[in-house]
Amino acid sequence: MIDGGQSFVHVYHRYKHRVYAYCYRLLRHPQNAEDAAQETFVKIHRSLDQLENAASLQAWIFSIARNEAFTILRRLRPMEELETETENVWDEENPLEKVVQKERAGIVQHCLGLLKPMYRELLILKEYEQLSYAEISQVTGASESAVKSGLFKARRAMRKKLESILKERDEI
Amino acid sequence: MKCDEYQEQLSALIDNELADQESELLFTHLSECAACRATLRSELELRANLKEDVPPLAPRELDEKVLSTMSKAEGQLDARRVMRRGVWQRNVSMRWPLAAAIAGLFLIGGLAVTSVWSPCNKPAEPQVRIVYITALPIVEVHGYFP
Repeated sequence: MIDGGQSFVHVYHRYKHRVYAYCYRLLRHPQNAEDAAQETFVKIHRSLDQLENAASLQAWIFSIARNEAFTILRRLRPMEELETETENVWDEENPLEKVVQKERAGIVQHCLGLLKPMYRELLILKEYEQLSYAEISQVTGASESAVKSGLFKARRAMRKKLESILKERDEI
Repeated sequence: MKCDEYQEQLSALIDNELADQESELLFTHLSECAACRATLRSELELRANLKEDVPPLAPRELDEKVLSTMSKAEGQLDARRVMRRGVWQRNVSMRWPLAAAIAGLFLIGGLAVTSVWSPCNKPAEPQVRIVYITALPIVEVHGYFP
């Protein structure tokens, strides 16, 4: 069990940038990301002393951050199914015309931002936060096999989109 | 197994989440399949491009918002604790004398009852006692003693 007080400040300083970056990459809006991160730490503060297993701290923190970020996403897009796995991984059908001029890494980032939130979050948790499939499964509530296939779909879609964009850019 | 299935395994391979036996089969396939090797290259390239992104840092305002809210919440909690302790102490400071007074009353009452019911207060009745005088020869003296 983790005790509150001092350990909260320690947890806050250790995770604040990661939680903010995760929320920012998911929400793509600084103020929304800040709100989600703030709410995440308020919830962590409230229940840190109830966390039984310190080993699952990281997954626990990201699951709280995810809930907060998705709460904001639902508020912004109330009619959308944000967490249902679908074959179409993109938020927009033709997202990349305007970014053809960008550098490759910029295009990759733009593509990432246009993935459906559930695919985007898998890539963020894996590529940036370096969580294991088991931890991602804890954070998202999806099974490990769903995490594995979701990551595969997201990467495949990103690869294909990148190839077509880069081809288009080379033709200009 | 089809290339599509191997490519799903490629994704797990770069995540270091593939079992040894699966890795072995995958590498065997990779040695024979140029398309899957190209996919592996492009997966690694994608990963490298994603990693180029510098993570945004949490703004300073977050420190102020979170830590000051927390310290305010802690302060309120401490104030509540102090208030509760004060109330408790007030209750106790009123109860101790009360308890002492009740205990005193019980003591006095008990003594009074004891003295009322004590055989000492009964009128002295002559009692027959046996007194042994330990001198030789033993003589039993029977008599009345108050």
